[in-house]
Amino acid sequence: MTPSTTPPTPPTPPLTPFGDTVAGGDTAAVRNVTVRYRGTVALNSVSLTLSEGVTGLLGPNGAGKTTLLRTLATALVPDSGDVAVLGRNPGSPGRRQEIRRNLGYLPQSPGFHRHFTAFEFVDYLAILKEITDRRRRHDEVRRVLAAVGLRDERGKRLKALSGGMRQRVALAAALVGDPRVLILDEPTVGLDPEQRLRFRELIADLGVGRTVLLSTHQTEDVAALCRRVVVLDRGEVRYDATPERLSGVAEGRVWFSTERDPRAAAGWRTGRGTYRNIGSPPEGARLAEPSLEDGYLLLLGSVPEQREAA
Amino acid sequence: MRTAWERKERKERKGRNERESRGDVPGAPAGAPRSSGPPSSGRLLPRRWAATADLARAEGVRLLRHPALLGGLAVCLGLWVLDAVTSDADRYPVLHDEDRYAQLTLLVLAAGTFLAVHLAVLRPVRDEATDWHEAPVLEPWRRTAALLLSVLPAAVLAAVLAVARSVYLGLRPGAVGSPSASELAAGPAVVLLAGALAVLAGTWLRSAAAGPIVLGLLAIGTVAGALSPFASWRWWGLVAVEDESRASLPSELLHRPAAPHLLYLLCLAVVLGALALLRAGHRGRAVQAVAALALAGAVTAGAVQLRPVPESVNEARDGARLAPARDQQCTREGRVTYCAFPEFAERHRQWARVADGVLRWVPARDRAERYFVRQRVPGTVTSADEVQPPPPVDRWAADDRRAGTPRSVPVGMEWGSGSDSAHDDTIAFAAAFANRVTERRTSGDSGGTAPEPAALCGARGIVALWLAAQSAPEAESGLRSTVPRSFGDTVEIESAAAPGVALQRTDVETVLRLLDRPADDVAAKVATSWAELVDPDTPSPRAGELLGVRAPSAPAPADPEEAQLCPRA
Repeated sequence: MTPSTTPPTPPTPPLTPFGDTVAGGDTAAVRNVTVRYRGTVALNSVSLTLSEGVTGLLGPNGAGKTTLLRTLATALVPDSGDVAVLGRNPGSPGRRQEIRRNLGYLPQSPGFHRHFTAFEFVDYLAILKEITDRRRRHDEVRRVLAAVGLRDERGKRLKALSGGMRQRVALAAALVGDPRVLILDEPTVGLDPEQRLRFRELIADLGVGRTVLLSTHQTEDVAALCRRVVVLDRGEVRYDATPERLSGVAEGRVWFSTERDPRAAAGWRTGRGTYRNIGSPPEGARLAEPSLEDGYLLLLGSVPEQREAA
Repeated sequence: MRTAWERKERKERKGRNERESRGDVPGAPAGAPRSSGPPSSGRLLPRRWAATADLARAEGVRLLRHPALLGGLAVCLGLWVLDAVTSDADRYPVLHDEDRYAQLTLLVLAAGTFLAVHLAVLRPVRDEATDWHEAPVLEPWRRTAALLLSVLPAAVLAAVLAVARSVYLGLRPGAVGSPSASELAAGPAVVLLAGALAVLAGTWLRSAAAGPIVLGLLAIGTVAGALSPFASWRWWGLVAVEDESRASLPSELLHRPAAPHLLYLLCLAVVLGALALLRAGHRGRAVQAVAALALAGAVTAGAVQLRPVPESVNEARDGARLAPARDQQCTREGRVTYCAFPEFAERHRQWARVADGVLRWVPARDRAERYFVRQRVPGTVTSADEVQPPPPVDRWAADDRRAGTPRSVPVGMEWGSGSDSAHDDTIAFAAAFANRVTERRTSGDSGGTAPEPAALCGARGIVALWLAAQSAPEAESGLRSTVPRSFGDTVEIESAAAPGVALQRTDVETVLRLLDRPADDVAAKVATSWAELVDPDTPSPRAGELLGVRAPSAPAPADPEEAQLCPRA
């Protein structure tokens, strides 16, 4: 299935010469970036610009989300194309260090030094970020741990913390140094609804005055947080606009029925016993309010098979 | 661990260099400056070094708290405590020997440091936390530098241990000599070297299993070097400590290349550290230059330490062994003059306590005007592996005559007893001194020490050994521990310095019975019958009668040679 209209990708501003910011207030950009892993194309000539606020990055597994994030975080070198973060090209070692100093990166499912306390771990990463004034660094570590709600757990060893707490420690580590660009790779994985809510609050606050790129499978998070959503699929940008517009893709294409509609591209039984279908509705169908997820699924044209609701 | 960007830059640099070397880069000015060293604006450099220092501090603290290092420390301290409790070596230490023996113990700490540092290097891999290190502000080679610097606290800890032990031993009342700074520093240098090797191994082989394997190979190499038939080979290893049973020497005769060995160890540590930095992505020419210089230093120092012992030192050693009088200083206490090498001069207090204990029960009229005690270097001083030649008793006698100390009683370089030692220095000296005291003086007797163990036979043997054993508590315990170590019908009381004395086992048993009695009672009987007791012709049973104990009868000799020990007994 192909969406009827694919919003055009905004034109990418020129990446050189770089000033303090990329043109138009954008703080990070990739242009025609291609990354291959042993012959497999992970990113195929991707161009994208990021500006202040929270941008959601959606895409199925293997779409290239993590590759894009690692490229922007200067953890990965593209095979071709240009990258600029905060107006600096990471190809230059000095510039790269400056980028990293102003960038917070939360990797996907990161490991932890289990014998460290939460404070020691964040402090260690703060040292790697070259925050050398000890008192200021310790204050900063306390601040970020408090920001993620771990003020009282900072002395506990990481191996004694729950998965959700560790994920918060990871976010705290990414926040150290008050970075201007935050790259978060599935930060809400493993969190319970309450923790996710707290994350949303936190990330929403962080999006003010910063550039946040949030990769997630949680479309609700994107709908709640992001002013812009980018959908990656098979290494290419399939969509780049507001969440509302992505929901709009499914406008008039979601309906309820008492039986599974064979004409639907996808459908699942809801808790109320009715079926929610997406695709091309029949004449006179009872239409439903589309969600971001509906738009996303229609956009990608593939629906997971295991959506039968319990 | 290099980051992706660094790997790319390295690849590009390599390609560029290859193209330049082939002349494929037109327009590249011949003298154009090329990037060398970690690139950065000068403004950032202090901050980077400060961050490196911060990281080193953090890693150093973690290292000092690591179970592997704490385990090594506990074993070190445990071994020293065990030594202090079970051996006399700590009571009468020779400080210029103990300094190098401490290196052996500190090897355990070095092993603990190696394991702890290796695990620290591999922490991101072991904890699957490499993601956090993929885009660090601090360059990866600086983390390696920090890990190298983090070993310094462990080396300082080793230095503190070495110095503390030396001070502790130095404060012992029986301590003699003075430690060598180079020997003391070798232990901490080995810890430093172990840490540098751990960083290199962790940078090169990114598996936690590699640490114990490398450590095992190192241990095998160290043991093989120590057991090598080629004495000089041991200097290529981490420690070069001779067998602890080797006799002590005056420090000037040791001639150990401790300073070159220390330099060798430090240079090796620098080489390994520099290799680790290069491996971690540092591309500064300075590090390469330092590595090259340190390698040259290691080779040079390694070669210097293998230089043969100068002839002058060998001559001095021979002089100390054959005719030590000219090198010794003498101290007179009462009737006894004690001559010792200057560093060992304080030992005379321990000798005097025993000698006075022997003389205490000798009737005043039967004491000689003067007795002489002279410190003797045992047979060989060049290597513990060589066969010990017989003592040069004729040369000793001549030396004594020249020095005016005729018939001096030999005493060894060590003092005290050790449970692992084949001999007991206290009872050996006490027996030798008692032997001299109970000798019949004849005019013109210019004899000295016999080349074979002196046979103490009959009543004289019994009274001499009793005098020796009751002279000091450790002399009695020394005798009691010696008896079970002797086989057959003869008990030999060996000395490290000179042939000891030999007695019939039955006579020794008589002495042990006498020791069970009040010393005053026995002493009174000894004083009463002194002349008869020290008469070489008085048989053992008669001594039993005079001293009031039943002397066990001598068994029929099973071995004809043993029967000759005391043919008239």
